[in-house]
Amino acid sequence: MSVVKMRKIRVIGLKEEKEKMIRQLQKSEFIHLKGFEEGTLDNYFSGHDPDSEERHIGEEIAHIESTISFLEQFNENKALVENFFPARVETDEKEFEKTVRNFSYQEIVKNVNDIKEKISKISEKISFLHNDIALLTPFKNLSWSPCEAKETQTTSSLFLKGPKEKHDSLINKLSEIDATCAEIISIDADFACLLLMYWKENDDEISSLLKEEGFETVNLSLCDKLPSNAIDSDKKQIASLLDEKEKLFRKIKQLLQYKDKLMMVHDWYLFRLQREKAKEHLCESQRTFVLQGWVRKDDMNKIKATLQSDFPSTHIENIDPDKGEFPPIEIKNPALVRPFQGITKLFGLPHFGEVDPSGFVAPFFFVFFGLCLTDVGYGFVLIALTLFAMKKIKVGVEGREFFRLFLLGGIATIFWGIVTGGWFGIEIAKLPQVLKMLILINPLDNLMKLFILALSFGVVHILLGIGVEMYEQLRSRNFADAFADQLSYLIILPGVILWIISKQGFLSPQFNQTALFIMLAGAGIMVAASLFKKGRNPLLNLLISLGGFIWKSKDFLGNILSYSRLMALGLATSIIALVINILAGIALEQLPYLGILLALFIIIVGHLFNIAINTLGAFVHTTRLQFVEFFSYFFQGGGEAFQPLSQESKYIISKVKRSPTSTCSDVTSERAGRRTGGR
Amino acid sequence: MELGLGLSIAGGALAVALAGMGSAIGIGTAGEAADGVLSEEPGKFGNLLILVALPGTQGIYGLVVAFLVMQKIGIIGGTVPEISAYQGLQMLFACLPIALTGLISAIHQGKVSAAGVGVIAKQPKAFMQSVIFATLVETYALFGLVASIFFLNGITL
Repeated sequence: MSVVKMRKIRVIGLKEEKEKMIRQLQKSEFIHLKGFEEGTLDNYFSGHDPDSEERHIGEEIAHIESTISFLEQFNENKALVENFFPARVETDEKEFEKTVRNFSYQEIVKNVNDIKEKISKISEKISFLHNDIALLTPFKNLSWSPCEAKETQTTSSLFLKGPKEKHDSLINKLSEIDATCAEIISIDADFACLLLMYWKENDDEISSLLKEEGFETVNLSLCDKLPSNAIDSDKKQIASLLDEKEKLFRKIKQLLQYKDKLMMVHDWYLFRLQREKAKEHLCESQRTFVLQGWVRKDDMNKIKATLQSDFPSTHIENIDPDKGEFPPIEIKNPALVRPFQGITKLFGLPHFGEVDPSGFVAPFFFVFFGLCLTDVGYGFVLIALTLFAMKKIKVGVEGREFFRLFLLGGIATIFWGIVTGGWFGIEIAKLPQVLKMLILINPLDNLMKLFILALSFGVVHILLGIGVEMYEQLRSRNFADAFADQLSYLIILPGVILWIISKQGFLSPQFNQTALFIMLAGAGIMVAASLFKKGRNPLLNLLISLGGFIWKSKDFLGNILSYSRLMALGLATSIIALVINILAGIALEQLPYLGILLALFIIIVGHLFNIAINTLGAFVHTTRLQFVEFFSYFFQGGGEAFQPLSQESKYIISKVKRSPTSTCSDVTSERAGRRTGGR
Repeated sequence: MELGLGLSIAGGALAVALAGMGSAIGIGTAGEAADGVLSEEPGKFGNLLILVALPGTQGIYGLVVAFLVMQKIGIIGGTVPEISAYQGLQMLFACLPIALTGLISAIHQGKVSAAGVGVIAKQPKAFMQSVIFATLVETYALFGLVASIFFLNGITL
């Protein structure tokens, strides 16, 4: 439960060792590189010149990536989950390096691209032919080829197409024009097609008439066959093109086997690109280079040892941060809290000097999540589904932590399920005696109890929030503030709650007095401490503190009531579960034989749906309670994340946990050497 | 008695119908936006699905309240008790919080979700944050649900 301490270091090394050192730093994930402020270095050093290398690598990555995504489209054995999670490939270092060294990916990329191009050309042709067929179909009964309808010196002939209901009026009007001959060729559901011959001198009249009636000319002058023959040959062509396309598809499917290898090569280039980008933070003199950045304090010795053994002529020194510069933030927690780090990160890392709230988030998230589902059966299903997903879906470290969050959530759900008697929504009256004995709160009979439980969690959560705020104030030595604005709240609020409880008659009336006394004590502390606040007039400080308390009181009330959602969500889950069972029961009763199947279907699909939608609800609402209600008291976030230069992959997941000190057998450098013409 | 029963049923029916209408509109808005992104980036289906599904919960809350009403008036498994017109009115009004908050909040949650869809199109990493924003709207439907449940719980038939 802490923010990792950071140190800023500067490393000066020989230029010829630059490549190797950067590779070493990338593998070991030690350093978060920082550029140099203008004027902090001597004139000997100048910024790193970006070369065309970076662009070239970027292009290569884009090529491979588009190849992979094209191949992906043809992957028929895709598991359902892969629609939700991007495909990845699991590999270890050995396999990765072997692949990168031996696999001639360029050939595959070229093949795939060729096929892609061919397919798109074929598709284009096919759509052209379809258009042709559509054009010719109305004229398919013509017993001569349309290109014979030529114009003579004095006459013209046109093929026409227009709305069916207009063709009578068109023919009537045409017949009024001298020496014009119109013949119906075909009429279908929507359109009528005609052949028209007329004197050229009537050109204008005819074209305006056609416009009026909504008829268009159809250009068939290119068709030198009988239309029916032309359609047949088009169809044949389409068939053969489809055949060809099918063959290409089959070829692509064969190439699909190289997808994993392409992914590895892609990531190999990606790692190189990341190294190139890292170089932008470097400065160089004629013979040396210098870099600086943040490292974990605990890593310091390891870094010195590693770098100085591999690069003896390297100089490493501790330096001070630039003016106004804060160290990047990394949070570190014990294994049980780690899944909840993700929640903190979602909000934003703590800024420098802030507490890492993950440790506080953990227990409450756990409890709240379970309270939103409250069903033993659902808890087990959630755990089973998560375990299944962990097996099926390849994810990185953060993804695994995310899954663990749901495993823990499942456990909490089981706990609350036992307490509230939720077993797949089975009515409590029908549960076996043993399970009934375990029930502490029956939600539907004892609504108020559940409500108060939810609000009590809210009170504890908020008091903890104020407590952490107080701790932060104390840590930054604002004692008076801590006493006036936090400690006093921590005393008054429980007093108020005690007062409410005893007023409601849950406690003997003498507690009334005690509660009042507690509240007064808190108020006393507030008044006394606010007089000691730094700055400003003491009286003004007092007014600010009192006003602040009144202002915040409405927030307390709203915040605490907000926790009633825990009850509502839990109740919604169990009631919907109940409804599903009732529906299944009706199906079972009303339908003989088939009813069993239908009931089973309703139960399985219904409960799965209920689990899915309510797990989503449990997650987001629990998260919201942390962000809006809890964090608002003490946590702002917004720290810059510690992002050491590392191998950030897009596709590959390493099978064995990478040991940071493993020295790379230098395939990478070999290949780099080959590309850049050797070093 | 007849009127009381009718009013109670009207309450339950409004809870399901109004909240459900809200959800339908909300999902419609979000779904339309999501389809647009899907045509460009089918890989984001999982994330989009979650955003589109968010405004669906109000309909469920409506159903929860309707179920409580049904249980109370003995429509499912039980005997129908005597319900006076006044009691019927009580039932009807008890259902209104979830019916109205469900209707309005789902529509607006749909809009926020649709905006969230736009966010994931550009910034896939901000997915969860935009989900949280959409959830802020839902809070009020949840409060409506809490109020309706308590009202119903308090009515004695």
